[in-house]
Amino acid sequence: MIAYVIRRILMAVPTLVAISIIGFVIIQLPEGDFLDRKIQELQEKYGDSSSMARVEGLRERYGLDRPLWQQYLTWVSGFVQGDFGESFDFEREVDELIWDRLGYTILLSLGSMLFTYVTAIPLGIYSAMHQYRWPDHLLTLIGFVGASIPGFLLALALMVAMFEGFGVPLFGLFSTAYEGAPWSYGKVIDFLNHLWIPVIVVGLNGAAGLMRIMRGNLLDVLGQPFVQTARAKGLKESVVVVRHAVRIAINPLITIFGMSLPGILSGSTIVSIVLGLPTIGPLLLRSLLNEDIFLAGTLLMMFSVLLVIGNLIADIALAWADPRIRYEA
Amino acid sequence: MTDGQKTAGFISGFLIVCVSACGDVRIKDSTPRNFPTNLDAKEAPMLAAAVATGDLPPLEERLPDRPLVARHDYAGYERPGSYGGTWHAFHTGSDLGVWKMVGGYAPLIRWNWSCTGLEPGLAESWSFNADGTELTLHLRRGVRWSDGHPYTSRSFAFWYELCLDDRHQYVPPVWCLVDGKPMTVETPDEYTIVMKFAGPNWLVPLWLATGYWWSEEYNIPEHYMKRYHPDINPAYTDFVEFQRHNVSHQNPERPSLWPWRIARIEKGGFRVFLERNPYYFVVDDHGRQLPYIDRIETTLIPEPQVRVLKVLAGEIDCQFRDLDLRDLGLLVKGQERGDYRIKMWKSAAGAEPAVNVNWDDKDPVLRGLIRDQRFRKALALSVDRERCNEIAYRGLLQPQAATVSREAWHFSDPEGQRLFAEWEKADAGFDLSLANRYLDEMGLVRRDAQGYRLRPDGKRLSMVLDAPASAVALAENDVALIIADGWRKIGIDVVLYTPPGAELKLRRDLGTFTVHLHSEAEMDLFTYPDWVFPTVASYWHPRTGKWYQTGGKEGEAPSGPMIRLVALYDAIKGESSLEKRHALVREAARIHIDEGPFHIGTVGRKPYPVIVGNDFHNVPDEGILGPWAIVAPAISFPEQYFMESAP
Amino acid sequence: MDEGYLSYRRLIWRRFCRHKGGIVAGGVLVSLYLVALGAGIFAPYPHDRTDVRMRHVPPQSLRFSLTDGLHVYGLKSVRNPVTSELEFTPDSDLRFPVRFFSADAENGFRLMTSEGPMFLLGTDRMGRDLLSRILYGGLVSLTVGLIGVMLSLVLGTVLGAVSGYFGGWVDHAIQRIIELLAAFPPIPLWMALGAAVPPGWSSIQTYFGITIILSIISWGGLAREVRGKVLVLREQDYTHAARAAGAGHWHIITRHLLPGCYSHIIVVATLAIPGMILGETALSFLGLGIRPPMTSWGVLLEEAQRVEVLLDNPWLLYPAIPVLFVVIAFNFLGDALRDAADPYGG
Repeated sequence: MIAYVIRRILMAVPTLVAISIIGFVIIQLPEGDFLDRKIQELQEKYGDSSSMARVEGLRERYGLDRPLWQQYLTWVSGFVQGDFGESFDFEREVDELIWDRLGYTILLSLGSMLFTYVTAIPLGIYSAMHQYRWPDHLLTLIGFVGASIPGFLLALALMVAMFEGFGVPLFGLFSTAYEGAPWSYGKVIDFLNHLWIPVIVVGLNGAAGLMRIMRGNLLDVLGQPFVQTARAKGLKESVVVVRHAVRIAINPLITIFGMSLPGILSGSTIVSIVLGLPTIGPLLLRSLLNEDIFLAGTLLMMFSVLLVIGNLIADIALAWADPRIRYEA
Repeated sequence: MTDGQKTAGFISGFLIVCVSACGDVRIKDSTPRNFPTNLDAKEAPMLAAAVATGDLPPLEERLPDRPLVARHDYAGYERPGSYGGTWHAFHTGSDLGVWKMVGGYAPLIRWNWSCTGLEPGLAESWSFNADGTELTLHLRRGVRWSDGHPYTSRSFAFWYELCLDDRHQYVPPVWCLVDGKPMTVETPDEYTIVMKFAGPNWLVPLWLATGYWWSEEYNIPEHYMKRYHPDINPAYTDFVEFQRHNVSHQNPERPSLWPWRIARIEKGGFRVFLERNPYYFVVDDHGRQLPYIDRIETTLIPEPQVRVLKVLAGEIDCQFRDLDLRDLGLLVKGQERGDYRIKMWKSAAGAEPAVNVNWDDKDPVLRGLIRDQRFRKALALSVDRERCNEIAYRGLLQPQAATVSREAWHFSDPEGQRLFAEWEKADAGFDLSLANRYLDEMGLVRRDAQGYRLRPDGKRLSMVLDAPASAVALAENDVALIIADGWRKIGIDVVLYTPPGAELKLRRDLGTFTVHLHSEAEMDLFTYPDWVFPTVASYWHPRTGKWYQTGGKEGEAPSGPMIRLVALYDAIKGESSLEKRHALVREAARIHIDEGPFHIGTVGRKPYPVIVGNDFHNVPDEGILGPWAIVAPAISFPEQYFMESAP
Repeated sequence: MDEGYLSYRRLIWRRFCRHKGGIVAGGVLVSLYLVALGAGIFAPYPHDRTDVRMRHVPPQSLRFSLTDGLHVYGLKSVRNPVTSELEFTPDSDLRFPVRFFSADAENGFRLMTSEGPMFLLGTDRMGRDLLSRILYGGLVSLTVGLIGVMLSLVLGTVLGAVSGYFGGWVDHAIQRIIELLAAFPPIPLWMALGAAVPPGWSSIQTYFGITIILSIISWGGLAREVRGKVLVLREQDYTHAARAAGAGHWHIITRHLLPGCYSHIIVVATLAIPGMILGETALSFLGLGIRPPMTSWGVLLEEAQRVEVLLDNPWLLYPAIPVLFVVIAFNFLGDALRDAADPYGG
């Protein structure tokens, strides 16, 4: 088991390296660099050529005139030591900008996944137990609808509905009063009050799909002989389902855990943009648009690391549940 | 637990969360806003308290000998205000530019509110010698930085030493150069600055007053910054740390001359907290130290819809910029619920946007066409401005040719106004048959199978129009579509290029565009000539402008009317009489009317809704927000705005 | 009844036909595609016809009376002095009958038109008819999904089969690439690829660029599935037999292995299309998708993504409904196909 875990971790490393290279290249793809734009901005303001000299100094300082591979190596060597470089756009160190946001991103993702599993599993079970009767059809329909609405629209609609209907502005993660304040009981409640819209919007997609899968799996298991046996023994239907069938039907869902992470992270990016949440997604978008390479590169790596960790956990959980997998190459 | 119970439990949990969300989570600053208005109190209570405990010197020692008295010759001024309150606002750029346009203006010389001239700021008086080669400034005595240290001529001198220092990123500013030679700066005593130029340089006082950015630079708190100077502190070998600490919007410890100093910046710069500057040198009519408002809190909100909601929710006390005209209906309807009112200021923009056609296009055939006046006239006459106005701006703007602001002081007398009116109407009609005739006259009569005209070299006449994506700037995108439509009707194949990100700016800078859109508003062409004179590598004259900027080393030498425009600007720089300078500007406008259009107008004079909370007072009813060189609303002395609820 | 012998395909078809939901879904989709392809005829107006005087018109109802037949009321407009917006009310004195199958110089041959304004779903901020835009936009969105999936299909099937069949380092290499793609956060990949679309490309070229981008990201899942199947099938007797008989690799893959995967491939593909369609809406939301003057459901929804729309002009949200319908229908169809294709499932 340990060997398997170590093997998986080791395999993840070259993947991350490859991603960092590809990512770095992609970020630089659009013409020019951030400082070219800065020149334009300065010229509009200062209207003179002294801005050119200013910016040339910056270009040298950030090493933007050196070849791409050198820039990459500089960045990577700094990255490994914990120096993520500087953001041109915000004019401050990258790590000042990201840690809080990383925390909120993880909270949002975990919240969404919790929501997904907590709604999908019971509803999937219920749906399976009433197969082809009206509750099943209704839930299926709701599931499909939930999976099809574009996230950004739902987020905005909910936010505006809450505002119009209840007079509560629910953008960002905190109300104005609590934003700068230190953590307190009130602040936690405020945070939860703001969190439910993004959690629902992000988790809805996954919930719908998961519900269907749960239903399908459970139906498969319920068709098997041992279930007939249990029923023949006179056990109550709900006991049969919950205590015996569900446990087996849930197994494949563990793999899905890892695969749903990309969806959750990208879904949360879009929702965060609409709702103005302080998470990684919007910052990444902005830095990519501005070619703010060190910030974008760092965030990209954070995203990828989260994904890889998620997959790792999923694989490990699966290996723990199903021993055959440990011996696969 | 049965799954029925599970479901029930989940649903009730969900409902509980919903219900709790319905409680009134919105908590405005709940401090009661009926601050005592005691005209005898010369300073804010929070400062008086600090004086009482000995933490702060008394008011007489904090103010200069002759403090600057805030002027309020505008409609909307109610009365001297009461001390207190926190002003909530938002900004969109991490450089706090939008805030600095309000509270970041502390120059030696100020623009006056009507934008017709200059008035004293940190300098009490200034004068030129006879031939304009020497400018002497007398500083206000006794001004202090926000940490109490005296403000002297040493600041300016220190800055200029850095400009001359090769190791530092500052270079001597373009306005001090005459024939490429920088000025020299002398400080005979603590309150006198003498600038000596290589030739007559009459525009310098205007430059000292222009924008918030110059005054940010030349007012360096050298007593604080010198500890980061490599010559003084051996711990540093270069200016990297110096530059990092010299950025006002990032370093709360850097002493400031602003009415409110930055007290705290939240990690990452997303919220900035400002607090009154106890040493601020401006007072009201009764000698009471300004500002009235204690604190500012401004949040970085990049997403436009969130900004709208924040205003509708009543969380903003006063906001001048960064609201979209498209949301005007919503903002108007939300006034009662959000407890605010709207004051309509204006942009005074002559073109929102202007269509900049690249005079220096790199395709030689296109360039030849563009430099033919008839071609440009045809382009101008096929823009359906009424439609642009209706679709992009709901008919709120005015169709016109591309000009600078009507309020610009160059055109303030009746003759100037007549000239300006002519300029506004030049080639600003919509006449497709006339446009077609111009192109026919030029010999572009052959067409290809799709009906597009052919160029002299036989290829299809095709132009790429750079425009922002609709998600970025909807109005400009709409206008671009209408322009493309019009040009297609006269036989030109238009390809729209709407890239995401900042590529538009890059193409502008490098001059690789053919046509792009850019808004245009300017009150003072002396310090910001780029719209009319090809002096910067941008707008419609990238390579000619580059030539001028680099002193002839790069870019292309001016051709045709550009030669005269460049000569006119050089003449302006060397002209001592203000009247004659205005006349030179008018000559340039004349060239634009007679031999232009060099850039094509669409619509102009956009209204700017300013949000003013119902308990926020002394904001001018009208003002100009378009051009940034005239630092509005800072020139109205926002330190005299105050917050007070009606009794 | 003596059924005799039914081929595998017939078996699947029969099972499919038992799935009522699938049939309905299939029918709905086919008709939607037909309508979209015929947008030029079904839509009352061209998609980019602006009308400055008709901005933000609320949806007009179709009315029927014995005297006038099918008709719509005219519109009265009043300009709100404060907001400068036009406000419309129906004018029952003015009735415009609906004409069917008529042609006119301005709009061409169309199914339903009217002399007066006929905006059955209202208009947008430029006075463009929303119904027409939804139809034309549907053409773009539906075909983007289809073409994108077909590209993914080809890519995924070929690479998956090759990977599973040859094994060894080829398999390893392709597996790693798939993993890499899966580990890459999709939005930066989209964005970067979107930013790489060169200037001067027309809307059509951008459209194809977008479909290619969408397909690049999603072929991995299909490849993995096909690989799995091929791994199993390649150990079957008939494969060994074919190889012993001297059949070439390509022949074996296409004639023997892939047919076993077809049903699976079709199911996966069908279920992937809604993802593509939603992907296009997301790309358009970010400003990287379809560019004007072309329109798509994603573009329409991006235009609706404003507080102003939600409070004042909510009919602009209608494009969400066809998106919903199409995605749901594809899901139903895919479900039905999946149940049908697996004859030994429960």
